[in-house]
Amino acid sequence: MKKELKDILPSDQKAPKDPSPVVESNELDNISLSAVSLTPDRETQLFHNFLEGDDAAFRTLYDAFERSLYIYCCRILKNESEAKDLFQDIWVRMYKMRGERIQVRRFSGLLFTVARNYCLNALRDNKGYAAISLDDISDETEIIVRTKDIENADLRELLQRALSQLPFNQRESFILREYVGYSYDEIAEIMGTNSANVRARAHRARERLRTVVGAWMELRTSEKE
Amino acid sequence: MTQHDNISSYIDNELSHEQEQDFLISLASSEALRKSFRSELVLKNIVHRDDALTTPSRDMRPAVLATLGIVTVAGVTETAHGTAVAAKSSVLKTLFATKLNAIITASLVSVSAIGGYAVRSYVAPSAPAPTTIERQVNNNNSLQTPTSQPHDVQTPVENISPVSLGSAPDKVVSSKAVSKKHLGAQTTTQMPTITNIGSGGVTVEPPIKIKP
Repeated sequence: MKKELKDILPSDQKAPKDPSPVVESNELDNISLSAVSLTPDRETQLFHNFLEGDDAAFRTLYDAFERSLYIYCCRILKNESEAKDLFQDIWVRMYKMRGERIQVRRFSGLLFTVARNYCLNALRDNKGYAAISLDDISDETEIIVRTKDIENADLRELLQRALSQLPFNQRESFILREYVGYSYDEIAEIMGTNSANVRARAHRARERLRTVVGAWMELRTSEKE
Repeated sequence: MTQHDNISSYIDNELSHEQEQDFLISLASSEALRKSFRSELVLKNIVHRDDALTTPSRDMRPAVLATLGIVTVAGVTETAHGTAVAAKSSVLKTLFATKLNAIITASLVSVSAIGGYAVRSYVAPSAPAPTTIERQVNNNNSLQTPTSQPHDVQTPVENISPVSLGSAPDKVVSSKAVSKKHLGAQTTTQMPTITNIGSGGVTVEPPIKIKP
C-alpha cells in the first residue's frame, strides 16, 4: 500500500519539496530507531493499540517521544514559540491517524517523517530565515565569531546561531545524530536517502560547527594571553 | 577520508583498530589535528549541555493532550477510579470498625455476665431463699410462685364481669388515674395488685376495667 505524505499532512499544508516527499509503508517498516526507551516491539504494539482506539497507548508514546521531538523542532526551527506550535500540530496530526489502517514497524520513523515535513513547510513559509546558510557565507565564519556581540555570548548561543545557518539537510542530520541519538541508517530512513549521504551531511555540519567552536576557543585564548 | 574526518568517528568509536592507530599517530604529530580534536570535544560538550537544557515545559503535555481531548477523559476516569477506591476503603474501614465494636461490646457483656455470675455464686450461700410471691386477684385467687423458679411469673388473672364479655371494654385507664378519679365513688373498680419478682422489684400493674 502506497501512502503519500500529502495524504498524511493536513490539507491546508503543502507537500514538501524535499526529495523524499513520498513515504511508502514498507519504507517505514524498515525504520528501526534506538534512541527511545521503548523497545521496537513495544513501540509498534502501542501504536497499533492507539490506532484501534487506545488513548493510553498514545499517552505512552507521547511521553516516550516528547523530549526528542521537542528538541528536534526547536533546533530545526530556532524560533522556540514557533517550534512549540509545530510540536503541538505534529501530535495533533499523529492523533488524527487514529482509526486508520497504517502498517508501520516503528512509530518513531513515522513521527519524525511527519515532523520533518511540517518543519519544511514552516521553513518555506519563513523564507528569509531558511535562505541563510553557511554555504553562502562560509568565508564569513571568522567574522561572525569575532564580532563584539559574540565575544561575550554564551557558547551555547553560539552553537544555536551556527546551527541555524547550516543548510537544512546538514542541520537535520546533525540534530538527529547528536541530539536525538539516531544512527545514520535510522536517519537515512527518516530523510529518505542512503546512509552514506547522511554521514556526509552530518560530517559537513560537524566540520562547520567545529570551525566556529575552534575560532571561539582561539578568541578566548588570545583574550587570556 | 582525511584524519580530520576521523575525529568524530574516533569519538564515536567507529574506527577499526588499524584506523585508530593511524589516527592517534596523526594526532600526535599534527598541531592542527589536535586543535580540531579539541574543538570537537568542546562541540560535543556544548551539544550535551544544550540537549540537557532544552526540555519541554511542564504545561506542554497537559496542553497538547487537552487539545487532543484525551486528558480530560483520562482525568475523569482517574478521578472516578480514585473515588471508587476511596469509597471502597472507607466502607471496609467502617465495616471493620463496626465489627470490631460489636466484638468489643459482646466481650464486655460476656465479661460482665461472668463477673456477675461469679459474684452471685459467691454470695449465694448467704442469700435468703427465694420468697413465695403471692398474688391476690379479687381476693379469691392466689398464686404461688414455685420456689424453684422464682422468675416464672404467671400472668395476672382477672375476673371479668359477664357484662363485659359481650362488648368491648369502654376504657382502659391506669390504676392511678382510676384512684384519683373514682376514689370516692365506690365503684366496682378493682385495685391493682403488686407483684414483686425476686430482688428486682418489678411492679406489674394490670389494666383495670371500669364499669360504667
